[in-house]
Amino acid sequence: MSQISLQVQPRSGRGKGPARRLRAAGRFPGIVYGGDAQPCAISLDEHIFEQMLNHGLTQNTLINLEVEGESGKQIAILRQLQRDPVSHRPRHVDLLRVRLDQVVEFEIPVHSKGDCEAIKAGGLLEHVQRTVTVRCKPMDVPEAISVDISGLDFHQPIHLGEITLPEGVEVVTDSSAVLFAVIKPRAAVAAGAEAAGEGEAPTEAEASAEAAEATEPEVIGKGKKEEE
Amino acid sequence: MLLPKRVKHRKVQKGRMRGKSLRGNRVSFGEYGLAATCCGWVSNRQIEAARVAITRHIKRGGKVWIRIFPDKPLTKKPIEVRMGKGKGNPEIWVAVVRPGRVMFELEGVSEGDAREAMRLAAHKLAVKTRFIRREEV
Repeated sequence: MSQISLQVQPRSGRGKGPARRLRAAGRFPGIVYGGDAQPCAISLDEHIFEQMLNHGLTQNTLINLEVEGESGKQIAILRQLQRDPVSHRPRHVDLLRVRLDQVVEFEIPVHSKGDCEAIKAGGLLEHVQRTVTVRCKPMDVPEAISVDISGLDFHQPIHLGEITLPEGVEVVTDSSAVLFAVIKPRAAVAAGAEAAGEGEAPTEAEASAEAAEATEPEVIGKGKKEEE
Repeated sequence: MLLPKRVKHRKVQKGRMRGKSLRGNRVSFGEYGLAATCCGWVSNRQIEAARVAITRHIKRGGKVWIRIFPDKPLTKKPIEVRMGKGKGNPEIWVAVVRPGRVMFELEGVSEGDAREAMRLAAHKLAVKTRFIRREEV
């Protein structure tokens, strides 16, 4: 369980005008909620926050929050980060206030380790479930779940139920969820199908005629009128 | 090539492309993505050309997702036809792409290969693009 310190300022202005002015000044708005205290609107320095993200701040990192002008530290976790779809700059952040003895839900990333024979034989590793929801105390939360894929084979996926998690960590996600699977690439499957049904493949002229026909899709409701 | 099976109307109006892509702006299926940084129409021919460029570069490995669908018909008048006499026939199918839209996703290849495949694909498209990676936060 990694911890990180973050200094924030309380924010008085609400709405899009003050939020835009904040973003123009190199800061961005956020909110701290949860626990016994009232929600608190805050603003954060964009550059410092980006640096923290680059140095390992994730959704299961404990944040020691220091709100300017308030005594005492609060412990929070990153709940949601909204980014601009084009510039990719942070737009807003949600921080959830937690107590260390309180059980909270976390999204834990799932990583793979090791090599498997099926991939060397041309298989494609499919990462089906990228995160797993767990319920535990903030100090018990694992940074990530590492899954050994060395025993993986075609049509033998690894399910969440097969993974042992640390003590005190309860899985919320369905235990039958598939984490990793090895599939045959589509090119290999298509090559196999072509080899099986040789001679049935349409000629180029047929294919172009089909394509010409296919440029006009069926119009919904046109046939109905004729029937009436 | 991609085109709808059934449509409600054969011809549609031009429309406007305003704002950013508020949906489909994250890498959701694969590990790497190609996102648009400007708005535009991407035709089904361009999508197919980009798909072919990606699959040729990554050869057998990897999995590709196409996250846009050309569902908007564009009409054209035949050549040497005077103006008037009604709207032309649907000729091209396009996807309306707004800034931020993830158009292609890729998984099962190294980052270098993914970058090169996306670079080749980007040359086939009518919009400016950016290579992006999946975020954990």
